[in-house]
Amino acid sequence: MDYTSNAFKVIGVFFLLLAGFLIFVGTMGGEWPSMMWTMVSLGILSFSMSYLYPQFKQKDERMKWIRHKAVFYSFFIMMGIMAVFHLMIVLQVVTLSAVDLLSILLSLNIVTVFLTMVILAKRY
Amino acid sequence: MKNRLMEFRKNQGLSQDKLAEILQVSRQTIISIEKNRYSPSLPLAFEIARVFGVRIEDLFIYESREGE
Repeated sequence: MDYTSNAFKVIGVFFLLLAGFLIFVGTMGGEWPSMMWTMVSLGILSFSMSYLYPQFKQKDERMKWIRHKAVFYSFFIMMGIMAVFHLMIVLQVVTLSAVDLLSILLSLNIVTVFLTMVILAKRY
Repeated sequence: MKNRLMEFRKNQGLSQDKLAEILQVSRQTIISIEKNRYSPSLPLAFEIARVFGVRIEDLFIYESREGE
C-alpha cells in the first residue's frame, strides 16, 4: 500500500502548525515573521501534492501536459501579481522590506504553481 | 476532436482501469479522453487504436474548424 499521499497530508499539517507557531511567537514578540508565508505556502504545497501524487506517480502524457500548462499559466499570474506589488509599493500603499517582499513572492509563486496544477488536474 | 473510445472499450468488455494498465497511462487520462476533455497525442492515439485493432480514423473523429 502506498502511503505517500497521506505522508504529504501529515507534512502539510506540520507546516501549518509551524506557521501557527511563528504567528504566535511573532505576535508575542511584536514583529510579524516573514518566514510565516513560506511555511503556509509549503503547507499548501504538501496538501496539493497529496492530491496530485496518485496522478503524478504515473508519468503519462496528461500529467506532463498539466505540469507544462501549470507553469505556463503561473508565469502570467506571477507577472500580474508582481505588477500589482510594484504598483502598490510605488504608490506607497504598502511598505515592505526586501526580505518580506521576497518571502511573499516566493510563497505566492509556490502556491500559484501548485494550485494551478490542482485546478488543471480537476478540470482535465 | 471527438472519439468513440467509451463505445469501443465497452464492446471489448474492458474497464477503464484495465485499459489504462494496458496503455500505461493513468485512469484519469482515459476518463478525460472519453469525456473529450483531453485529446491524446498521436502516439497514444495510435496505441489506443492498436489495442482495439481498428484504424485511428474509426476511433477518433476529427472535426475541421470553420473556414478551413
